[in-house]
Amino acid sequence: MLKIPCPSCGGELVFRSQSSVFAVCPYCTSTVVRHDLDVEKIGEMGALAEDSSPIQIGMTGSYKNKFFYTSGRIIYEYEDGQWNEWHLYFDNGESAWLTDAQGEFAISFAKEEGIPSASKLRLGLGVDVGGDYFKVSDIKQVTYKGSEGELPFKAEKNYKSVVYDFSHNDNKFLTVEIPNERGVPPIMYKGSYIEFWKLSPQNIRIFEGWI
Amino acid sequence: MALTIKGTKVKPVVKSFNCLSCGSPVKIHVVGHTLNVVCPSCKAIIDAKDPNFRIIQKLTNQKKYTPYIPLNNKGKLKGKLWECTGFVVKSDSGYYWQEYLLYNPYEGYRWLVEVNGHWVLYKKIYRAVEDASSVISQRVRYKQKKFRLFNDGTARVTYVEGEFYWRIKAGNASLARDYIAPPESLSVEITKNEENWSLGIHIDAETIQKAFKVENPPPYSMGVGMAQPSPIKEKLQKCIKPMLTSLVVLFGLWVIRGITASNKLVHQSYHSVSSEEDFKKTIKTEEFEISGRTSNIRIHGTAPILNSWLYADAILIDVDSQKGIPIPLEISYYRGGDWSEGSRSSSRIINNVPPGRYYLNLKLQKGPTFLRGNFYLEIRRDVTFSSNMFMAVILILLGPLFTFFRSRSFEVSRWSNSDYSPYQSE
Repeated sequence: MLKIPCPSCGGELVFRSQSSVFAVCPYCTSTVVRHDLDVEKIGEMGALAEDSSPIQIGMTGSYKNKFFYTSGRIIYEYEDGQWNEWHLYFDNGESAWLTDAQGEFAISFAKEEGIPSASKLRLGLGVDVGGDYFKVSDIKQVTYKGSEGELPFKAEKNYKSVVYDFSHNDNKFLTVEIPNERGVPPIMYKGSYIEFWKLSPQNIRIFEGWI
Repeated sequence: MALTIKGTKVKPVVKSFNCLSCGSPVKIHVVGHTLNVVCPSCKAIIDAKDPNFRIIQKLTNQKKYTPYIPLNNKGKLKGKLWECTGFVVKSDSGYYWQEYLLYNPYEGYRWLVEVNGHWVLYKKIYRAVEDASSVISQRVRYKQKKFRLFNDGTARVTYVEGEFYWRIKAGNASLARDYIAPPESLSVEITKNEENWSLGIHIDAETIQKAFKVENPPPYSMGVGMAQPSPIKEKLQKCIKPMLTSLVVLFGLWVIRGITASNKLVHQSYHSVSSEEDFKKTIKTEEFEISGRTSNIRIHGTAPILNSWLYADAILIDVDSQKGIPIPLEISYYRGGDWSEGSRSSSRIINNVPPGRYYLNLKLQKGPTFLRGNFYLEIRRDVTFSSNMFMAVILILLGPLFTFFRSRSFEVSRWSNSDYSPYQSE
């Protein structure tokens, strides 16, 4: 764990993972990038609007007998709504994303290989990813509405990309994100839909009257 | 589970603003997911994502519907707490039904659909887009279970209240298809861009009323619900095992009886029926022995008749006591070009005949036709016979058969609401 004072307000910025390169100061909402032991301010996030998600930074849980810690999130916005991508760090250093969209939850892991080429992707296209068969079910232009906590890549406000959602015959989850910015490689996330309580979550948001 | 959860206690997030159209306060209860919200006062549909909360659709002269479950009422169904956040009335060619959107921040969304007073709770399931719009399959399979097509139509949004996580508008239409395997149903809604499958389970109307603590009685349940489990089918399934057991036992008894029965011939005789004289005298047969324990006997007669009858007035007489047991036989046989009735043989069973020496007193009568040949008569003791067996089988089948027809009529009633009824010809 690395603790560095915020270059803007001096508040303590905590980097729990070696692989975190981006953080939003919880006190002044400055956005910073980390260069090894040093941080550089690159912008400001501003306050995020509160939502009804049960997840918050610091939520812990387990997935396939591995413990995780929720380090940060990105709020994705598109024409017909918004959703949260919560970043998870596992005890073994692995990194994953917990999707929290329209009341559905999914855990996925970034894959760098086997990404279908962007020029081919269109609605209804079937692809085989690691032996699982998926179909493109939705294509949308997204904007990062905001982010918080510590993240494995720069996630500044108003960052734009195209997201391809896939459907599967069971509960497997696949999504491909292709940044609008030239030269930034696409990322594919593969995983499964999951029920929230199956994660044995702790340090969640407890809504009055619900638990 | 609830006791061991740690976290930050927060009040449910609610966003409030005033309706641009009528100025009334509007609340959003599912902040983040809600995309459209309906003004509770003027029923305008508002864009919840728009910073100014612009009006998307304003309906005038609209017929008002009252949701049975009031919006934002909470209730526990299948062990989970739900808040009613949306209400939609849909229609298909003059046929109306109600859909309630339920929300739990930890479980997501569910749909509660009420058709003619019958309720089904739906959960989204994941299936790949199979372009179901082009083919209607009569059966679909989900998790090893077969579902049968029940409804296929166009669902049109007629009326909305509450808040929704997608863009909803009155007039929106989708292809809707229901498949059933009571108490479950599998439904798909198909729009231009999406195909959403959900798995439903039938819920009793009283359960809904209790769960959401509604004072008014629930809408009257008309007929049989699409996914309503059949109480009679359950009964039928329950009585099939005892029925089969009884049949097996009965069959076993019959086989054992067949093996142990002696079927012993104790008397046989031929009596001429060629002349009129043969019908005037009383014949006394030779004495014969019926041995062993008290048992049944079967008297069997065969006569050379055609389009006539023969009546043997036989009495079995105990030599010692001179007591008689009447065992009359009637034989008649008629035949036309392509039909026949009766038979040249006939038999009769007498139970509980004690062992002893016997003879027969026999007087024959016949129809007005001329006969030639002999009337053959035989008596066997300790015989097997199947007529009791048939009676028992019928008795055993009676209950299940009755239940089967009741179960069938329940299904006929269920399928009377479907265009795909397997009982359609009736």
